[in-house]
Amino acid sequence: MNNIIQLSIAKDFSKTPGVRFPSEGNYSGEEFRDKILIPKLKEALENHDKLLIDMDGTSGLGPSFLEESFGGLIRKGYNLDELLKTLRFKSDEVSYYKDDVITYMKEAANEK
Amino acid sequence: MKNKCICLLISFAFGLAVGCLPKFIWDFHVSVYSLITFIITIGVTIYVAKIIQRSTQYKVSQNQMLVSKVNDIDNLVKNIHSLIQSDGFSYKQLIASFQILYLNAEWIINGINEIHPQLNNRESSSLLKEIRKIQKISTYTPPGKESSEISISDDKVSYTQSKRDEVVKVLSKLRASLFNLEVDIYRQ
Repeated sequence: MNNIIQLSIAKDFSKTPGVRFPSEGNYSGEEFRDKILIPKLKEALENHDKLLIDMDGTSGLGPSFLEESFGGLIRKGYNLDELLKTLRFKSDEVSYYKDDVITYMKEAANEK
Repeated sequence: MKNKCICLLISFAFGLAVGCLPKFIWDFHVSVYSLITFIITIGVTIYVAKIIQRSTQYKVSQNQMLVSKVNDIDNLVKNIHSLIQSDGFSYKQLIASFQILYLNAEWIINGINEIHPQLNNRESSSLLKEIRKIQKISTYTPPGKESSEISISDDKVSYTQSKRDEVVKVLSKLRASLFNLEVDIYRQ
């Protein structure tokens, strides 16, 4: 109950995440969202835990990767308020990633 | 002829001055107080001149260092510019180049703002926003459909000519902003 589940993009997925779709190259945002993020998110939601996503340690996170990963959660049917309550972000190296992710989720919710 | 006239006039003036010399009274009685005041005045003058010289030199070398760091950012922008010139460049390499550019720019701009806080709201503060904007223009593909301007396959990117022109344009604008920042630093 209200534990923090940790997910590191660099350690649990790739240090070199890339494109939006798997058809465009490896380590895509869609692959990260479906194979890594959603299972952890489900676990966090079921147990009423927080999911802390560590965005440090990669060679760079592109806007398409971040949009597909997190904006894509909204398109997959997750509720924005629920996500904002559950997800926490750590982005010490590049401070704006965190703001971008929240913006992408809000934009995806507005477009629904 | 002109030079000869000038020499003649100078010789005349010198002769006149020497001729007047006996009229001056030489007084070798100097009070201790005047002597001390004189020495202190000379000492303080030399000290102040040295401090001013040192602080000016420090400021100049500090500004030179900052400008060379801004040049480093410019070189990173140039690297991105050459990377995108031909089709088939690596998407991941572009993303990594932008991260390196952003982190370097952030580090250098923090340094500039610390040394010249008055520059804070001018060129320097808008640079980071500009870099983020350029990264998005150069790498963002829309959700749910393929981009009509950026095609990516096996991590290799191809731009349409209009997209390449757009990216080159914003990179050039960024380089102009970096140049303006250098000018602003030299003005401090």
